[in-house]
Amino acid sequence: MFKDTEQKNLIKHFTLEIIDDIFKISAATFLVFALFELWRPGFAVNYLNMNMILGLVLASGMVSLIFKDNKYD
Amino acid sequence: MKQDNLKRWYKIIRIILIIVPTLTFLWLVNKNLVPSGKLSANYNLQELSPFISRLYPTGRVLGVEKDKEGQYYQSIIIDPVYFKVHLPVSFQKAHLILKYQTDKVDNFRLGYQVGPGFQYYFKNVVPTEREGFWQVAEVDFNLANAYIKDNKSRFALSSPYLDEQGGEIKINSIEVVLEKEPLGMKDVPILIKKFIKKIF
Repeated sequence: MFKDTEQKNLIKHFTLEIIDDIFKISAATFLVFALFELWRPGFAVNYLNMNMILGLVLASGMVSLIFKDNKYD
Repeated sequence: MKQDNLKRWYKIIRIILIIVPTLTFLWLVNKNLVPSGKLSANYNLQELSPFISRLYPTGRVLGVEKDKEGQYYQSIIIDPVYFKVHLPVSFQKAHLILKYQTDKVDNFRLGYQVGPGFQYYFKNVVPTEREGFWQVAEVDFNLANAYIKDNKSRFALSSPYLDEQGGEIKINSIEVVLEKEPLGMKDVPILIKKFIKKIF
């Protein structure tokens, strides 16, 4: 039983680390694309839906924030 | 063992998370530089095109309608009417293909802006073939002296005295093929220099 709890905690910690990485990488990606968009209008928005990247940033950020303390259980 | 497996998967997922946006960025750079030298865009009025704007101003062009065959069109009742074409880089030539119908129209012209204000270079729109009830015309322009603002070139559809004659021009689709010299390896250092100059 102790092993099950330990494994569950490992998977939970692993998942939260991944979500945290998704947040950082998607935020950096959005920022870079937005900067290029400012420099050359249409650089990204003509080919991509930037709202989807922003949605990913917000969703992963919120999950990271909500479960922040639990990461270190 | 389980922990080692998870660590390995974590590394693999992290690598994928870094590779995907990097490849996306390189794809965007490729799309914007147009290394092949040719960019095609089509505006068929059913959905918005990222490269060709809607026809404007709204007072001179009616809303998008559908005919009995299910073809979308927009009617120009007062001239001139404009549309903008987004140019990610400088192009030398533009080949425009118009699908349209005319009613009580003597002279139908298409032109591109060559200076600020109403400075346009016009060419007559002459149909070369038919597609059902629609006429198809092709017009070529040399964009060397085009007036480009915010990476956009403005085009005008004109038929003098259209409203006075009670005429109407129905536009079904606008296709634009932009051409320039294809990019070679020798152009890469020049592009990098231009980019650095713009940043600093």
